[in-house]
Amino acid sequence: MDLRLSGKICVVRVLACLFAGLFVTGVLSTPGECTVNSVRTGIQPGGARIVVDLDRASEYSVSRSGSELRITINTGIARQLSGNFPANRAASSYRALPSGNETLVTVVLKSPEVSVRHFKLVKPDRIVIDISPESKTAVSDTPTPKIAPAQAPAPAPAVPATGAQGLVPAPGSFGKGPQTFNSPLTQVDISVGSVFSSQSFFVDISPTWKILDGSYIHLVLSHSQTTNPRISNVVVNVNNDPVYTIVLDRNNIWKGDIKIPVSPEYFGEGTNTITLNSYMRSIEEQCQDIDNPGNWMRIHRESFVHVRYIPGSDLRLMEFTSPFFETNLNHKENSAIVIPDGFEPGEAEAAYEMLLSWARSSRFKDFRPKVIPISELTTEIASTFHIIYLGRKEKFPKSVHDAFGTPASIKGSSYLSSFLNSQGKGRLLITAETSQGVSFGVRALMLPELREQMNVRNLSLALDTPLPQRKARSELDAELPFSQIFTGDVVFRGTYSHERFLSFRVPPQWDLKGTPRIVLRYRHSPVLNERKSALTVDFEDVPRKSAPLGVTTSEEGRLDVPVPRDIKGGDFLNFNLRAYLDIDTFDCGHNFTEAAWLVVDKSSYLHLPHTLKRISPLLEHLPHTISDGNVNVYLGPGTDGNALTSLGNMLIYWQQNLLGDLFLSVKNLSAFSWDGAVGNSIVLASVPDIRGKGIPISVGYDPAKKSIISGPKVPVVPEFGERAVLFQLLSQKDSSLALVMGWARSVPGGDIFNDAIFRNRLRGDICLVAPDGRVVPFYLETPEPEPAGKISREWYMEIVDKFRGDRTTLGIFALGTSLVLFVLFVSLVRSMKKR
Amino acid sequence: MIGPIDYVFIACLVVIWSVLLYHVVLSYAGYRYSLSAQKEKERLDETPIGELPSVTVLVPAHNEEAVIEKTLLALAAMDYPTGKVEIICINDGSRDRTGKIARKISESSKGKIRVLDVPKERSGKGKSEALNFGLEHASGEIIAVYDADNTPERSALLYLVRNLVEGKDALGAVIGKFRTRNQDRNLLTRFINLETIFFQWTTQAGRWNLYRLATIPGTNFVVWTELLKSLKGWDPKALTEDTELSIRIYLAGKFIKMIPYAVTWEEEPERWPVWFRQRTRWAMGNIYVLKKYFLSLLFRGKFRLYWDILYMLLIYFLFLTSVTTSLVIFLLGLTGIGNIVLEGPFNILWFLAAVLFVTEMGISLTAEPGEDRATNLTIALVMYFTYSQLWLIVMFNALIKSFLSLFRKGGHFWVKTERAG
Repeated sequence: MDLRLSGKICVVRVLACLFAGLFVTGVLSTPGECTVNSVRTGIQPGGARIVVDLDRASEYSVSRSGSELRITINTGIARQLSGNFPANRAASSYRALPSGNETLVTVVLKSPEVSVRHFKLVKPDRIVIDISPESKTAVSDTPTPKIAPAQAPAPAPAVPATGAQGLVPAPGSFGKGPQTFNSPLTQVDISVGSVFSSQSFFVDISPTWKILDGSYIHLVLSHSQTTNPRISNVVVNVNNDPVYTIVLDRNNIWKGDIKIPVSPEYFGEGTNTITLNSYMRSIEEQCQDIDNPGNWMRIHRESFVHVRYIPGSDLRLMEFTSPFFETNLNHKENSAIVIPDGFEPGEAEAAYEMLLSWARSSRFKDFRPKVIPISELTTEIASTFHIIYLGRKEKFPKSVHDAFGTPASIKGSSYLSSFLNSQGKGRLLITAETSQGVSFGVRALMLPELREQMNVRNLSLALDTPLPQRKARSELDAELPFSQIFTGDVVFRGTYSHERFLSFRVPPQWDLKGTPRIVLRYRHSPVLNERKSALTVDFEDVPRKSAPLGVTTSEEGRLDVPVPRDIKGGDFLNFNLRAYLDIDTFDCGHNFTEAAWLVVDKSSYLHLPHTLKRISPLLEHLPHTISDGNVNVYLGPGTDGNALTSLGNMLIYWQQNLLGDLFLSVKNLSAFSWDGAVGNSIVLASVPDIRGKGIPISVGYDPAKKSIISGPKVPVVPEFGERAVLFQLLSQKDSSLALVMGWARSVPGGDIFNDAIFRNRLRGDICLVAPDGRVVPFYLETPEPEPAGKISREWYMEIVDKFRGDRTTLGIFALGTSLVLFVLFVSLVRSMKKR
Repeated sequence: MIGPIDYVFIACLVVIWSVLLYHVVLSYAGYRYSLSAQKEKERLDETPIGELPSVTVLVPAHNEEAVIEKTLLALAAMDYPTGKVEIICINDGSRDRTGKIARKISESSKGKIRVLDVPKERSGKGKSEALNFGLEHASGEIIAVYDADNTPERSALLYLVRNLVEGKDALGAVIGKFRTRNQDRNLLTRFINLETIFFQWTTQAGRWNLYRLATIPGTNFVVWTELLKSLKGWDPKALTEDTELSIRIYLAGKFIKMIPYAVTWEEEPERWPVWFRQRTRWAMGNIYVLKKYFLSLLFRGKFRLYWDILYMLLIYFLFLTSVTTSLVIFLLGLTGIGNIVLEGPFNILWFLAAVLFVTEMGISLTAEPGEDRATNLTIALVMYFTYSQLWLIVMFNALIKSFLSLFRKGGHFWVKTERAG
């Protein structure tokens, strides 16, 4: 056969395989030479893993040569493949090359002393090679974690996060439950002999582990008998977060045992750093003991880190929202909710209910999950995203149900199942025979009290299980803890100046009254110098109030700061937390030490007493214009993943900015009636569909050009026509509001919606957004506020406002009236007597 | 010729207007106190907190599943040094999920909240009995009490305790202010909101400012544990155990200070029957207190306290009786059975009384930022002709029931206020 032809056939077949992998359940067997589909890498509890995916079963052999591992497979490969392993201690990279009729996979090892386990698996066919460092391998510089016993290969694991629906069948059913391992901090005792020191140790955490409560650091320390406990301490940091301060006192002079609990959130996947920053002094006088040999400390080899975890295959439903929610700013788009093609409104409602519940539980995290129909689930999304499948059983392919172990019959119940795949990506399925059942499953999972009982990987939940009633949270609460409106604790570490800017937008419908204030609760290192260290709150760069940081406040301090009186609803309350930290130390130079730290606790709060007032129905006031938390969502035909995702992101943003809870009811646009609409609505559809429902939007539509054209009072410039996005806020007949979001030709990509929404660019009662991001607002029914953000008010409210808060004036007025009445009464009585 | 009916009418007028004008004085005193209290609060905020005593917070709960979770979470979040506050939820024979919910919150509170089940033989006998049971298990130097439907502001306990500690020698207890959490629910809750504001800024703050008297309101107060134990706790026979305890604290030579900046938010009845039963219980409780102390105080030389008892008598008996009598005279005149001979601008007087009530309310509202709205003055006017008049029925109902209870075994009854949640 001509080699070029063979190559072309090969390429065509590879493409065919990938194409089939996207849409077809299972693996299509394709006869021919090119049977190596892909090579995947990952890490396993003992080290690294490489998986070679085959079209059909083939013979293979494994050999080692120094720091190379060679796998020869008796089959061909279409093209050369290469890549790196995720961070691990066994292997660094691989390369797969054609070698005659065979394929040679070469793995570069980090050390020649590794153990290799390999095995073949079927359905689909693949070769799995686990590479682990020899357990007796000595470690010199970096302490080695004691690795938990490698799990035996699962009976039917593991196609990875590629292929059809991106699934990996879950091994086992209920798993082994929580496991632990101890990782020694050091193989030998470490001595420290200077005033300041910093020692770092490393612990590796597999991405497929879910760390649990109960993890701790066990430190065994000794120190000099002359160490002065008043000023000497060790600060323990996990990944740069201080978790504990050890005072070097008489309790730990020789091999003092210190157990430091560490919450799971302090650990991350991959290599974790534990740093001990010590500060040791013998005498308090300045500049006296820098070279004092009496300042020493020893970290003993008995010290270790105890990690309690469950392996990925054991991920319980009760662990939700982990791992789907474990995001940071760089990975905010890491989860996708997949619903069936031709989804019912109830399925979309279930997806949004889940998103809103996430948003409620964390109002400051920036996360942007996708909501897509299953046909839009690409290989890329499947391999890089955590995925949640929500939908009726019959609507998902068999491969999905095989992976999750869905029972043959789930009549009268909702089925929930979850696991982590071998690449640490979460998979969750909530299915039922009806969309109501799916929604029920979501609600059950999102209820903490019920979720706590879901200590299993999968379960069937009877649909008649009583669920507690949803309760809307009151907006009347005047006290807003930092945990709810900011990113939790504010940590200042190290000596000298620190600053953190915080900003909170007072909801525009709030009319502040009384004495608004900020109450800070803080704790700090006990060794701070009270005369030098202080916590200060600034408003607009003007210091308002300070608190000295002394021994008495080290465990719990409180600073009560009045807020400027001119702050109104809709304004941003901007303030700076500034701290100057210094310790009781000699002043011989500028010595930086992390022994100085301050934590402004997340239980600190804003006290903003207020009453509610009406605000004008403008897009810039969303979501606060929504009078109650109930919203009906109407989805037009052709609503795709872009539109669903954009709506989802907008709802998350709303929920995070509303202090009350938001509840949705999703329906088809066909169910909407402009004349009979009751309650707040969101309409998401194309402009012709919106007009077809008789919704009086203020733009026209040209069916020939499929573009938005000018309407009453709204001139539309040409480039806004075809790909413009329309936002309009309309007052319905029951005085509730309808937000109309429409597109002309096709549903725009998510960025247009998101850019307009997240950057607060929507203005007016109608707003057109061009594909290039330009925004044109129109104020048709409601006048533009002057200045921006200020709410229009009735003239007499200004007079009333003058009295409001001016208690002296009103008090004198009331007293005067009383006295007049008294005089009137006395004169009346006297006149009666005369008669 | 002026007849007996005229004298009765004049007497009624005098009583009614005395009470109204006395309240003007109290309102103004309350208003003055609001100014000084604001300065006092600012002073407290500026000064270091210092060493604080340990506090036990008692939360009696009987069938409170609708509200207990929110209450316990709010209490656990209060500004007070960890380790110096213990919260005891006294589960008083609840037949609903109160105990279960409280236990669940207790488990996640890191030892801050304890749940005590009142033994069967002592349960369901009212708030006093439940509080006494809690007192037996309290370890704090100070007792704080919050009703199960309260969400105190985070700083409330701190302010109460700091005041108590500052006035250690003179003060036996410090009380805070309670506000209506569900004030916007319906017209009844709006009435109650105004009533509570009025009561606290006139009767509580005004009395405290004029002659250092205040009455424990049943929630949001702190009292020295030692003093409470020496007084043998709460009187289990009292339906308004708070008023009764207040008098005993004064008899022990201590004062009760009212501070308006220690605020708790509580749920008030949203239905008229619930309101009626609750207010009847309060009225009966006050009748009990009057019966217990009216004569005994007279012979103990506690004249300031006696003045307060007289005030209670004036409000609960003379004022309401006078209003009723004047109404009866009005009806007699209408039916032609009996007329007063006196001629006078009584319609104007009647109207003026309403205006005076609204004015007094206005003075109180000036002390409550955010409530000084024209809407509230309108509601106050409506309230005068409706809500306030219903107190007559409440009072007479309480009088009849108190009278009948003299012939009934078992003493008193306790009506649980229903919660909406």
